[in-house]
Amino acid sequence: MASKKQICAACGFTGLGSPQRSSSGGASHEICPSCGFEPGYTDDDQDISPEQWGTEWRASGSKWFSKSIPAPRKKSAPKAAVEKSVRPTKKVRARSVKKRNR
Amino acid sequence: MNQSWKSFFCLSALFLAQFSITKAVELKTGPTATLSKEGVVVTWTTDGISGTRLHYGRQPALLNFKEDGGLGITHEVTLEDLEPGPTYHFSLGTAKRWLTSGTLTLSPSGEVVITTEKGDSKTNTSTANPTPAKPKELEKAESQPLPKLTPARPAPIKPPANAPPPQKVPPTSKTWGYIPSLQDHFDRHGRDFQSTSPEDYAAKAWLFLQYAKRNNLPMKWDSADRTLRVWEPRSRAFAAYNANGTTKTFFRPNSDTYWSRQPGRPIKPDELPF
Repeated sequence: MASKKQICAACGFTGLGSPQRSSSGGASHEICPSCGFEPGYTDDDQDISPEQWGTEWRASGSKWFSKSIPAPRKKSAPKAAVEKSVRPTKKVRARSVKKRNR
Repeated sequence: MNQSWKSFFCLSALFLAQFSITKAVELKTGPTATLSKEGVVVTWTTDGISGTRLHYGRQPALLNFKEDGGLGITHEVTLEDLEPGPTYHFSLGTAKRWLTSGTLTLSPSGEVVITTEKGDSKTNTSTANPTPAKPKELEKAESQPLPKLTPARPAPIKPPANAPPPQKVPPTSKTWGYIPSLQDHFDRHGRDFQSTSPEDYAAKAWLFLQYAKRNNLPMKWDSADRTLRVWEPRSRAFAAYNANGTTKTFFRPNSDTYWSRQPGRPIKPDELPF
């Protein structure tokens, strides 16, 4: 079973380790390696909403933020696309049909 | 066979990703301050396009006035309501991160003195006057030693004279929750505690927890995500810890109401799970 993806509310990065807010409203303080948004600091202390942060991040060129966590080669795809990609491709399915027909 | 190719491609992707890390925006020049008809104009440049933000206030821990500007490489904000005489503390940067901090003073004669601190040693002083200054006065001003650097944040907590002997700090791998994030937390918050390295920052966060336990500092336990939040009202230091005692973050909030807005129930050190 695939674990639930945690999404950054500012940039949409899907590789976070935990939800940005718990059910109590407590912040995870996990700095998004993609855009640098830190729930509990950027919003609660610096008074910048995830939307504002994301807008500025995109306007500044959407640069990968983290110096220590490498950027994935390809941007994390939305959940639907990820699920689709693990299904067998048409080629694989065709090959298995051929085998059966032999 | 398929599996080995997958592993090979994954490893290659990781290897290539190491070289594709983009550097965050850094301060290139400035800040400098000049006096105009509108007020004190603070300018600086960055090595990449970023937003413009300056927070300032009379107290280093309370930068309650904010000025924002547009996106660009050259940044400029005008502080319209500075009073001549008192020293103002400021932090400037982008909406994402602070790039430097320091102090700014407007003298009754209309001279603006700005001192900045970046990292541990860089100092930049700029003066300006709306009316041309006499060469002699300028010479005198330039011959004066630079004002002592004033950090924009309060000094770290000093242990009292009767404090117990210093504790041996466990290795960073035992004190910090998610090691890959440590560098980013250090880059953002390390200067709040004059930390010299990520390891030093992590050690200070661990020591802060020990200090909090010994001195019964305000603590809140959030059972929703099993997080301990700790507050030191005097130095305005805040930290969040995982249920195993490892650190999530450690910084000095600017907001006056930060602690009161934190969720969780008050907890005593002897009730802690670690």
